[in-house]
Amino acid sequence: MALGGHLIYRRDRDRALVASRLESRLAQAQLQVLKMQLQPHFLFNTLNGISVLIHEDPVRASTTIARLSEFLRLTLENSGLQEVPLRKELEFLDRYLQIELVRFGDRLSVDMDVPPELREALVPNLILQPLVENAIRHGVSKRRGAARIHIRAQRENGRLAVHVTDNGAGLNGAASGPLREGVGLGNTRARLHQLYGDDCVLELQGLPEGGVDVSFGIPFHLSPNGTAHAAREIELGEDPHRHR
Amino acid sequence: LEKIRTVIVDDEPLARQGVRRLLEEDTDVEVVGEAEDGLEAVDLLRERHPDLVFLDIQMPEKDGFEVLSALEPDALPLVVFVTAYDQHALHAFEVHALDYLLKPFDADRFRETLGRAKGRLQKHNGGELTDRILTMLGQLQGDQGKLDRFLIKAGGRITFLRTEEVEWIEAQGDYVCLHAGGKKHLLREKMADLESRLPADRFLRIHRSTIVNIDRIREMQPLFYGEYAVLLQDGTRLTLSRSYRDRVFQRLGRE
Repeated sequence: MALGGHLIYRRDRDRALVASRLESRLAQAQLQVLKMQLQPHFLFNTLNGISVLIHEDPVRASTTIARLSEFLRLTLENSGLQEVPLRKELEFLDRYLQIELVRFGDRLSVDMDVPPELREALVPNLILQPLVENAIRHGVSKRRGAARIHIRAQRENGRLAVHVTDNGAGLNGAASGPLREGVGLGNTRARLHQLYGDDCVLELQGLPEGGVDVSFGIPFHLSPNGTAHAAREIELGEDPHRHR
Repeated sequence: LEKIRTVIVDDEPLARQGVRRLLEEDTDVEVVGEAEDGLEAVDLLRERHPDLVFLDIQMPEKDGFEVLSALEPDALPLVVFVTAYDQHALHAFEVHALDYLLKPFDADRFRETLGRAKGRLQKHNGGELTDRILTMLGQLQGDQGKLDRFLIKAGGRITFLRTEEVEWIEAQGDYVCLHAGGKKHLLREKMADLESRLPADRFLRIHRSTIVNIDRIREMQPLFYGEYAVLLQDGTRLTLSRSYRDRVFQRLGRE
């Protein structure tokens, strides 16, 4: 009995340790998003865009202010949940994308290809926006001409895969195939492992036609009350499937 | 009165629109072009030769500083950097930017900058006075026979570089590159013309594409086939070619 008690104690302690690691990874992800939002390149260029719109298109100016505020607020008010429905991630992403579309205009276009039945699937909280931001940074900011970002989700053999593709120059024009990953992706990878063990993948692929495809794959699973949520439509200013 | 020919460079369409709107308020200004990345900017500035450019720093292909360094000194307009980053400010003034606008800015701040640009351009009569000064100084030097200082035009400024400060000179296409105190300055000059205008007791042509300041030579080491390595005090290694060898030794008083 005493031995059993000891084992239970150890198991609880291990569980607590895993939970605290997960919390710290989530906090890092949140910090990463906040840091990006406060970066001068994003924040001040967005404010500059708004200050131009005030004269040119006041309605769009106030819409952009609303999107920026929501984007900041959603980060600050983050639930602390490790997993959220993909729908939530897409709503958050939408705020961000609407701001970038105002800034870059014709230089950026975004396609979304997420079947409605996948929107209630659980994914790690704050996983998607940093991947898309990265794609925009490489696709738009480093390359001349128009950039296309493609976001798609699919379900296959009980797994959920989410891909973010850009048509940038790839990584220093390196040949297609696996690429080296940066610090942000390192944290994403560690979070995936802590949440799903070995049952997850995170891949960074250079594409033969240029550009990069970043994807993650996890077991497909729904929130306990997922079906109830699924019936509700997403409340967005625009059609979330298609930007521009 | 001539209008101030102005170019706007920014990778964000809205940002360009904002600058253009403020410029259009002013009848003295004419916007002669816009570019949305660094490469386009270099082409546009070379082609249009504007008086003034509003230049973003962070852009695809080439950033604002790279745009300026890609331009021939003669093609440099007055520069106003427009950027979201204030840590670039110091660098901006190192490259002699007229001013530095932090995004977002208000109309008053913009007008102040534009006023400053006008002041600079009017004082120089749209750059023509600058050219007249250059010509006049060139004539003065012509009267005295030999060149005793270079006039370096960059970022709307003219700096003076005394010939004795120049360590060596390198031919680069239609330009010559003056090496002085660890810095490089490009001038639109031909090597032969420059050689004839430099004081002969101080400068030596040692190669089709090299002129060296005699005072800066530390050592000469024979190489194969009658060539010599010319080592300067700062460690720079140049080559004395066979075709210039005899003239050089004659001048240096050696058989």
